[in-house]
Amino acid sequence: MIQWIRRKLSVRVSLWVVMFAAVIFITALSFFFYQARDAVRQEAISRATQILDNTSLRVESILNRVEVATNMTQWLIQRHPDNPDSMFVYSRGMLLNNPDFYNCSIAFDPYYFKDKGLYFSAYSKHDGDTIRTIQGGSDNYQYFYMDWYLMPKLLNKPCWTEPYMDFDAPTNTSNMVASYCDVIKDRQGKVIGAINTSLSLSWLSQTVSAVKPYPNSYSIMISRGGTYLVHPDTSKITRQTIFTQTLEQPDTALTGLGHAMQRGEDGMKQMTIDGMSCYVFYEPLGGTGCSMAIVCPESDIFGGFDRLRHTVDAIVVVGLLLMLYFFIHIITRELNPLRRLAEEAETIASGQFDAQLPAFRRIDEIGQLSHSFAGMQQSLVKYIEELKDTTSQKASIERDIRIASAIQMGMLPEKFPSKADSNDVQIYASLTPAKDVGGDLFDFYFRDEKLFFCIGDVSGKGVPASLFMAVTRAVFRTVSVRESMPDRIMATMNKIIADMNRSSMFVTLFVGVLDLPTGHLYYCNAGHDAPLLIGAGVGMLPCDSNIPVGFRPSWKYTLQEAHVFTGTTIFLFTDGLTEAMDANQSQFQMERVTNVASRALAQGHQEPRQLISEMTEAVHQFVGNAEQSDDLTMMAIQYIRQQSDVKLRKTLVLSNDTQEVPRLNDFATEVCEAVGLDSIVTMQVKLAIEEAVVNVMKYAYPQGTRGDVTIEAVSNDVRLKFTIIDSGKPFDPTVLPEVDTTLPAKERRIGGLGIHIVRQFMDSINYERSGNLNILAIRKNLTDNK
Amino acid sequence: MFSIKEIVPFVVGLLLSTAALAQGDSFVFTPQWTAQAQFAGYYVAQEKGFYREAGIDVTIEHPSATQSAMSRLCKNECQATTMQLCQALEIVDGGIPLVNILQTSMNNAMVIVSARGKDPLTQKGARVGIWSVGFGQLAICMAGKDHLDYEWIRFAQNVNLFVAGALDATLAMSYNEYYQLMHAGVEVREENVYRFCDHGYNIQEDGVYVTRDYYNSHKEQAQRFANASRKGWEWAAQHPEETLDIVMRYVEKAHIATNRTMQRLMLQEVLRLQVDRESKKREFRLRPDMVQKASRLMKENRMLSREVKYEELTSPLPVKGEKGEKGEKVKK
Amino acid sequence: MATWFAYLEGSLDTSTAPETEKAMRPLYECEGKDIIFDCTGLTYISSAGLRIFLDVLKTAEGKGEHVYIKNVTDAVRTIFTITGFSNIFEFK
Repeated sequence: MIQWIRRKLSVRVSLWVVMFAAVIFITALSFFFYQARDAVRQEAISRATQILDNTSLRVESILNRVEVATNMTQWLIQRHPDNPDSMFVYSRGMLLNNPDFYNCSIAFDPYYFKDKGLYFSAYSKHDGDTIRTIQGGSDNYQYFYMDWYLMPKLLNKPCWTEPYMDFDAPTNTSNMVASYCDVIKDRQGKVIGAINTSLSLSWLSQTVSAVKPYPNSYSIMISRGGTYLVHPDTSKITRQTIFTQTLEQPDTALTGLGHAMQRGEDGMKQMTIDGMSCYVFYEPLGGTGCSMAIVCPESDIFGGFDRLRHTVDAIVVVGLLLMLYFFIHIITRELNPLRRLAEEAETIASGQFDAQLPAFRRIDEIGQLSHSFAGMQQSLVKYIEELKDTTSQKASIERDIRIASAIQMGMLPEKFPSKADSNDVQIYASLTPAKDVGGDLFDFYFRDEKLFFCIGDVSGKGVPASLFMAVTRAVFRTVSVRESMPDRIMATMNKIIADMNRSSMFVTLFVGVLDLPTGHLYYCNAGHDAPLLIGAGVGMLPCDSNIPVGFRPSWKYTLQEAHVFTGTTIFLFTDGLTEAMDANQSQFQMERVTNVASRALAQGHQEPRQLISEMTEAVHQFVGNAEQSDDLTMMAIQYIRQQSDVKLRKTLVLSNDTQEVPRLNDFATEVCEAVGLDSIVTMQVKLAIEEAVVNVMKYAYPQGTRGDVTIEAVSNDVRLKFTIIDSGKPFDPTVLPEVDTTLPAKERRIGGLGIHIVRQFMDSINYERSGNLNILAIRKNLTDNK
Repeated sequence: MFSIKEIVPFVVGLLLSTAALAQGDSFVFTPQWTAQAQFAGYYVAQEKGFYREAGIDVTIEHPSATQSAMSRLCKNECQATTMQLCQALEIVDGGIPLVNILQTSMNNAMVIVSARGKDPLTQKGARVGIWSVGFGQLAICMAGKDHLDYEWIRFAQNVNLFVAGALDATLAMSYNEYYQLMHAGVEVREENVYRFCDHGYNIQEDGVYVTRDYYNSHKEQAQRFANASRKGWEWAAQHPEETLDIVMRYVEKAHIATNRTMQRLMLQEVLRLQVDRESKKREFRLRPDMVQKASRLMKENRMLSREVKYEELTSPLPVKGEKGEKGEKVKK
Repeated sequence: MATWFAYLEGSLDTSTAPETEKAMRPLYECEGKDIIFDCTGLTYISSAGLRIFLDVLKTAEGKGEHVYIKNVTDAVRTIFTITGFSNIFEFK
């Protein structure tokens, strides 16, 4: 219900209005009813008082006659107190003159009339139509103990006795009577007796009980002693007093009323009688000591008034309810457009932005609202469109970045040589970018029995870093194809990158070239973390302090060398490893890297894949749930080549004359046969050596100069190596452009074919310039060809 | 199994009652006042058939305007009446020997109620109402002893004079007029009430008396009446509301202007007065010490010519319970 | 159509190449003639030897003639294959 009221504006407003109206009505009506009720009350009081006054007056007029007649007789007696027999005449005369009187006694103190004895009372009473007159005193009626005799004497004034039941023995009838009595004095003023005139109270009862101003009202009359003389419940008359029920159940209101009436007061009291709220009006009845009261139930007095009030109340209630109904109806109708607007708004809220708004031709607040709402709807549609575009753009960028990430990852070597497919090295690497695309890089490839590898870390992260990384990696590949020494590779890369670097980015880079047959490592470090060597122990590879790549194109990078023994692992990493952070922002640090490496070594786990997995696990444990802060890249290279003993060593020295070629061929054939190669392979080796040496002869020495060419053949169980040494001008045949063997005859050139043949028939070709010597090493694996 | 000893008295009793019935004994009992709860025990004994069971044919006749209870007793129109102890002493002293066959009251019920909130004892020379029929012996003794110099106003009817303001104080019985005063709207407070029982005047009141002559000739019958009456009172004490029903029947039959409330108050008070202050029991016996005290007080105030002895009121033959009484006396 | 046969014997290496080239010179005048190199006796050929073959082929093709190679040994054929010469010569 309350929920309903809260939801309905019309109901709420109507309720307020009606409540306000109700308050006004209630206030006005309350005041009116209060005044009206008071008027009714005053009316009732004056009416009751008037009735009481009338009754009292009527009663008093009768009582007055008794009192006057008695006083007259008393006067007579006191004039003639000496003749007892005349008393009978007086008493009889009283009744004769006043037929409505009940009886009359003229009594004297004991022995006042000596000859009359103890008792003398002249007593007259109506007896049918006649009047009986007797001497009334006797042993059984000792009148001088009676109230009527004692009271005026004790009070020293005429008075009315308490009403009493008079039992008339001769007629055997009882009558409720009250007596007016006064003393009789002798001439000296001494009290000698009393006169008493009684009046039957039945007429009084009738008079009083006939008073009935309201249908349910009734009258009561009580004596001085509180005894009921008139009461609608006749069983209470004479038997109960107004106080009877208060003896067992105290009732202060009733007691108060009783006392007030006993004291002869007049007035009005409001009280509850027999469970009914009543107004009681009371007034004394002359000098009798009696008091009468009219009991009027409130419902009688205010009956008409209450009916009026109930009718008015009903009209007001019905009126207010109708008002409520019409208000709700009217306001609902007025607010109907608003409700429709709300429904449309809900439709729009559910996503239907093109919902048609109801058109109102209103200029009031609702019209304004509708107008504003239409404006809002248009803005909303526009905004949503923009949002859609932005979102799709963003999605597109995200998709691009994902693709970029995939491309970037694709750039990295995916196939790692292991013991199963390589006799020389085992390699494993992992790269975990902090964002979709990272700035770390690693790379490796084999050329001419050498392993070229690098690891680097581009400054910054994200797309710029990744682009820079891609460039770096491409440059590495490009440069390292022609250059075999890391310092030269690094210098060339630096120059290329610095030239095109407009965004002041840089890359720390470690470039290494591992000579696989010998385990000799050439390296150059451009500001990168020094790798670990894990072999007999764990140690850091000493690195010169070179600046990172990309700063200064002219920087001279230094070459360093080291020997890697079989079984030793080179562990390379980026600062993402040492600076990996846990939730407390503390870093993993080099010490931990070394510890993990030592532990792995102790457990014989320096094999690349195992080493990296243990390192990764250690980092993960350390970092816990903290977000990865930087790209993390690790690469491990284990040198596993077993060195074999030299079995054959032959040397041939030739002058740079092509006529020496047959000697060379003989030498080559002799060597090949010595290591046990078949005729076809022998021919191939012979051809390769011839081509290599002819090249040297042709290009190392300028036309017409003389020089020697030394050819040394060395072989062990697995490999045959020819080293061609000359002192001519620097000439590196390995960097000559590849011959395109697919061209048609017209376009084919014979140059460069020699080196192509060498590459095809031999397993590696290495050039190095040492001092003023060109040293070209050509190797042939024996294991494949036996 | 009955023993011989138990059976014999039973047979004798049976014979006796048959004999009594055979004689067709009629027994008229007249209470000293009009019908009211003061006599409830007798109404109960009659209505519940205790008298019939005892083999006596009791008629209860109240005194009339022309004939008081005493006069009926003297004229032998009734065989027993109730009387206050002081009244009985006066009558015995006056030469009519009486025998108390049942004492119901163990306490004095008389009080003085003074008007206008004054202690009655401070009102020297006050006008004090007293019954014209002579219940006020103790009050006169007290007033004389304390030199209160009261002007005694003898009245025949109830409390009207007091209510009308014609008296300074009035004597009242705690079971009757005392309540009538309240009934008439008088506010009675403890400070303007003087209770004789609390001031050394605790003299027993109502008892059932027969003439010595009657007692001598109908001792058996008198005692059976006394025992049945006692049984009536004991029943009344246990069944106050049913007793009240019976009382109201008598009251209405006699056209007495009273009501159930007043009769209930009266019955409660009368029953309370029947309990001895010291033993806390309904003893139904005349106390020799009280007889002696009343006798001496009245003699001192010249209400008696001589000291009437306890033995004069009791039968020469010991009645039930008298043995114990004598035993106690010896101890004293 | 007339066909010229050139018989090759022994080892055609850098040292023997100039002599061989001299001997081959008549082959450049080959209008209307197919040239067939019979390599039955050829045991070895180096890139210098291959160049002679290529020069002949280029000249012949310039004149719209064909050059065939027949009876090469397996060892020599590998050299042709490796160098891509197998693609430009027609083998019989």
